[in-house]
Amino acid sequence: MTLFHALVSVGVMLGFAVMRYVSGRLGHPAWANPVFATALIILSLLVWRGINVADFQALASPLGWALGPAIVALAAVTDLVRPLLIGRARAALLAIIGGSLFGMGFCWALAHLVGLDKALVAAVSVKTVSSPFLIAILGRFEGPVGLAAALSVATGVISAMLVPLLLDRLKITDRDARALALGVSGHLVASEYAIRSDPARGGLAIIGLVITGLMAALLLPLLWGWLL
Amino acid sequence: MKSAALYLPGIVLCLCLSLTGEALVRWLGVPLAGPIIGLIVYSLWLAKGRWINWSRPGALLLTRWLGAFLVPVLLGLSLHLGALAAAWLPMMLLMLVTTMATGVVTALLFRWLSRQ
Repeated sequence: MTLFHALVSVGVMLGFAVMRYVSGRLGHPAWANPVFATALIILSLLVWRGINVADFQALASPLGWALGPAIVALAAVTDLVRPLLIGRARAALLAIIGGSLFGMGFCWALAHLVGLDKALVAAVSVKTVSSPFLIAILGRFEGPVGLAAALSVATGVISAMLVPLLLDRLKITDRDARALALGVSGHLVASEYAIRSDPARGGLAIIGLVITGLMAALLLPLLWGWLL
Repeated sequence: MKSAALYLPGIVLCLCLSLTGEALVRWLGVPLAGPIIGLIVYSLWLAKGRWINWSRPGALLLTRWLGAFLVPVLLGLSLHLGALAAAWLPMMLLMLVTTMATGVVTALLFRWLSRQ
């Protein structure tokens, strides 16, 4: 790792910190997503300076190394919600399983219905799965890992920005239900939003994304050949 | 110096658990991410509650930066614009509809099951 790698990584973190601060000042509205805003600003800078995104990704690779420990650290957030699950653990587990099966099945069916090619069907069918899980799963089948990981994070952005608004419209105010919905539909990015906007419930979103990922790890090796 | 002593032990523990998980999944050849194994082990350790509270500040600090670590992955989407260009409209609609439907179905299922 060179000094330049460190500087680029610190620059991304600073940009994210500024966007998170702005989002906090606005009261953490769903539309002010710091991940999306930071990505948009960096993309604009890269286009303006004529820098290749792949080169930028290589320079920001230390952030990828930090992702692993950050995922482990999410256990500290899930530990905070253990008291909330007393008496509702079964409902939470079944809702996560039902929601994630629905999500994967619906994506797969719709992708076939609109006639997407095989690589896109493979990538979108697993978009409900968090990127660390799907990188490990797709690596086994030589699937489109980079595209699927990017679509997975994009799904998280869509979920963090739109699902809370939709739940508001539908008058679903149960905070536990909202956190689980974010974790299952938008995994890491939406869970990050759930932790910021409702720290006491954010851990439920993490539980949602972990169980969804574990289910995908169990089911996809069995269904992969049939899915495509 | 004081904050380093507060946060560093938790960060180092998470790093060690992530690397151990990675080594374990490679050794066993299971289709799981190493950090997820680390997350499960750390969750069980925290649930046990023995000699672990020292790690919480560092772990919680790491989670605050999770979004920043995902920014380069999201930017990777622009590398696949060629593959997406031919089907951008169905892809966009599919992404929007399925993501929102998954969220709503999960929330409704939980609300219904909680009342049973």
